[in-house]
Amino acid sequence: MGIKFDGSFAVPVSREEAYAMLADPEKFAPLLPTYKSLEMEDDKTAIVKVKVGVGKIRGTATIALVLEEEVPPTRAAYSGKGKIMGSAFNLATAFNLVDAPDGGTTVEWEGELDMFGKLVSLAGGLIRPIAKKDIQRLIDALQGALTPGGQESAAS
Amino acid sequence: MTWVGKSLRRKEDDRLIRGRGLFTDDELAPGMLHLYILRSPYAHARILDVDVSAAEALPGVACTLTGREVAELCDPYMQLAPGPAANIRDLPMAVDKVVYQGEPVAAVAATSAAIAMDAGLLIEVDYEMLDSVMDVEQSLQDDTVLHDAAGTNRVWHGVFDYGDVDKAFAEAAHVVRIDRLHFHRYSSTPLENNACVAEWTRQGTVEFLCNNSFPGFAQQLLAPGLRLRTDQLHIRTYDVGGSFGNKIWNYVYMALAALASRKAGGQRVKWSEIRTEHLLASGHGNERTFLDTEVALDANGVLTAIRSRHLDDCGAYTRYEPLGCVIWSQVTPATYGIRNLRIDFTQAVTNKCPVVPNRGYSRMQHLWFMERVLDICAHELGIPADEMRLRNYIREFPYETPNGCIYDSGNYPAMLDKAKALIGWDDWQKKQAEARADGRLLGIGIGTTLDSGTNNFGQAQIMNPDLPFSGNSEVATMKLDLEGQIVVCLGTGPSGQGHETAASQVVADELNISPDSVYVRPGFDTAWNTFVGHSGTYASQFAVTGLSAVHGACQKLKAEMRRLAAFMLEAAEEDLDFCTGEEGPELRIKGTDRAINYWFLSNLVNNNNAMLPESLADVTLNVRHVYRPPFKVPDTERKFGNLTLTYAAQLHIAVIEVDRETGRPKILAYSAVDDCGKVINPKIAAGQVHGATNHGIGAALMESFNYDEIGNLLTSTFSDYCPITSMNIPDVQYGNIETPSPFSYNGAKGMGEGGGGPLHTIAAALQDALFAEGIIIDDSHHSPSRVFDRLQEPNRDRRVSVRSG
Repeated sequence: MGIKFDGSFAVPVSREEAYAMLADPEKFAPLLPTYKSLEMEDDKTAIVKVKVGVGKIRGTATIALVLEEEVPPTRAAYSGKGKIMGSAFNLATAFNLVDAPDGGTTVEWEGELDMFGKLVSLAGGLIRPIAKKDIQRLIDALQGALTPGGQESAAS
Repeated sequence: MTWVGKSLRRKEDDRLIRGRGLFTDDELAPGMLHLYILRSPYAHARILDVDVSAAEALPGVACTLTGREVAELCDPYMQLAPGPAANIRDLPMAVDKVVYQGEPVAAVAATSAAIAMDAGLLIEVDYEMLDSVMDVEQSLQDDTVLHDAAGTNRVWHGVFDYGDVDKAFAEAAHVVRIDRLHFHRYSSTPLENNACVAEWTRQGTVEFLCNNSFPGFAQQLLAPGLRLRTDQLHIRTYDVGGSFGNKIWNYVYMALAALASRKAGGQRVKWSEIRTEHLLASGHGNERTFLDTEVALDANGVLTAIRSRHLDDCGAYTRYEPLGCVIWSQVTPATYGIRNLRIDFTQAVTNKCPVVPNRGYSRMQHLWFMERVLDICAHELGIPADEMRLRNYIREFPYETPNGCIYDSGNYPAMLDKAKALIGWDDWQKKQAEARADGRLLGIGIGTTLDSGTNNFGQAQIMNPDLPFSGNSEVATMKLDLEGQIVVCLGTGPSGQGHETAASQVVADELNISPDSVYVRPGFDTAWNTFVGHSGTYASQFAVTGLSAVHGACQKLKAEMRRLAAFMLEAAEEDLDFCTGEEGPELRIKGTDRAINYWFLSNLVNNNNAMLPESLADVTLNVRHVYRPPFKVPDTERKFGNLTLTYAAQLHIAVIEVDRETGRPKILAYSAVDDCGKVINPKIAAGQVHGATNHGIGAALMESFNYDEIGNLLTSTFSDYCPITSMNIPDVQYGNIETPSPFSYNGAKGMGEGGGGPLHTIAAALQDALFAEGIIIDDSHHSPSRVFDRLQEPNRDRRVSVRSG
């Protein structure tokens, strides 16, 4: 099952500030929805644990999140690979940062999630709306984190 | 009194309904280990690493297995395919690469099934995902090759060319072109999933209790795979909860259980498949696409020639394939008198579950194609469906088909008459006219199908001339036990078809005793020495091969009993009758009260034999008979010869209404007429017809394996892959006719695989309902959403064209 997503949002900070957040796995990973824990394998690889649940199928997914591209202050891209309960998923996401006409930064983002295995078979029809919802939560969290004074409210 | 032909209550049911059956998963033993198989979530991926350390550290885990270990302990299974596909390395577990979702990648044996599963989930497998090949036409491009050793995805190609096709097209009054038809992927859902218990003994033999349905074949693959002699395998089955062909290749899992037992020091290991595993990875039916079909017809709508290109998707491994590339040709012209055919047939692998013979294996795909062709032509030419069939049916039997198969007997027009009477054809014609006047979509469809039974394995040589298979055979052993009990052992390995009952009926008639006096051992056991390489239940053959073996064994035992009795009673053998006296079964001198009972006869041989003369030294009262059908090796160049001994037939009629708003097809009436020659047990035969009919209805309307573009099976639970239940089964009006087979001793034909009948019939009824909407039924599966989509986008203009004159 492949899900593609993209969009853009504006934040009232400079590209450099936005980049510093987005290109740092230690800062970026905790914004993932249902985040549980993080362990840095090296400066570009974070082993992130998140809670995953579709209906009564619940568990913890482990994601190896790798910062694949760093083009300061315009682009950061991640790849991720994870597994949960006999299922697996691959994800790729990228953020392109452009100056907004009225100041601040526009974050243009895109991503792709491929899911494999039991979870798709058991709950395939539910995954797409849940993924959509979680992506929106991630974007909201990013936006909150990149808005001065907004991080606490985004995380709460 | 004769017992054959009576609806005798099934002997098996006594233990089954009392919960005293023994299915493989019922087997319990102290210290038994349970096997969990970790399966690939990916359809196509390279295996970079398998780390079992965390699993092995879990308390209760006895051992783990990885692909690399399996590769060290096993040899790849023999491949039936010729050419590059013969190089496919098929092991019971993936080693470097997975090629379908659900392929085993590791296994854990532990003291409980729960611990084994928990441990399995601790195994870390690192994969590198590869592009998936999910479509047979894409596969044939070879852009992504599944099996490096083969170097191509193409498994087999052959052209079946009979008659003078080009001449028939040149002389045709009408040529109908159909650009694409598709037979969908589905399977069987036996009540009991695959299971086995294996014990690798200290003597180096392997004990199996399993539910394999073709143990004669399984042991020929398992033994060399495990680097053993066949005699080192002890395979037995007991009660088996259905197979439908599906359990033919569970030997793959039997091997894993055996290897786990070996690694665990000989502890018994049980593996019991769960339903999602069964749907994901136990074997699916063949998916087939029919391209560029052209049909020549004369001015009366009689089919004179067909040329077509068929692509078969066999999934990720060939296993029993590419036999399906030839098996269909048992029914090349279907029930019709067409003499000129050219079928260009190709099979390829894809990243889907490997296929396995599934009720109606390979023939039903072809029969569905032929029925679709006939039905589409009828609609295009404006000939009523029943009339079209009557113009095309074969009527003289035995009938030699263009490819040399001999249809033994049949009467398709009589079946049509009976099915029409059962459903109330004339009434439905009137109701259909009224419905159409109201704008309702109501269709009436006819499907005629064949259940070719008793394979000539020589057809394997058409596919690969180097294969050492031809003919067919089955065994029965029979003895008069120490206390005078008749004991029969079968090689057929039944899986719920009532073999014990039917065999008892045959023996009872031969010995003139009650079936209650005959004990037929349940299941299959290599220790009985009642097997040959063909032994098993498949290809609709029990009534012919199984019962002929029983009948032959009976003749041999009777001859010995007669000789013994003649000696003891000082009578001529021809003066003796087999009958039942006051003390039970006996042999009696005709017209006298002088008799000898079975116990006495048995005792003479087994306990009290000093008085026997040398002339009776060969009498053992323990006989073995191998029945071999009269087959020859086919002409492999011409792809010509008799491929099957008997041809049972089914004729179904369905009335279906389609909801214009939702696309939901609803069966309003259904009739099914069966002809399996002489019926041994009408109740069992009716059960088989109802079962096959329901299976086919489920396949047509509910059951479909749907994959997404990256190889996820989206229908791997009963929520999504919906098997038919009593809630969906229509009231089937059942009838039968008997055209005895001249080729079996008892006139019977193999039966039970008529699962294709409803697929043809429902497609025909939908065609009838939707033709006026500009719709050609081009697929064998008709979920409401598919029918709805079709209603939104009529396809007749792009699917079919007709050229006349």
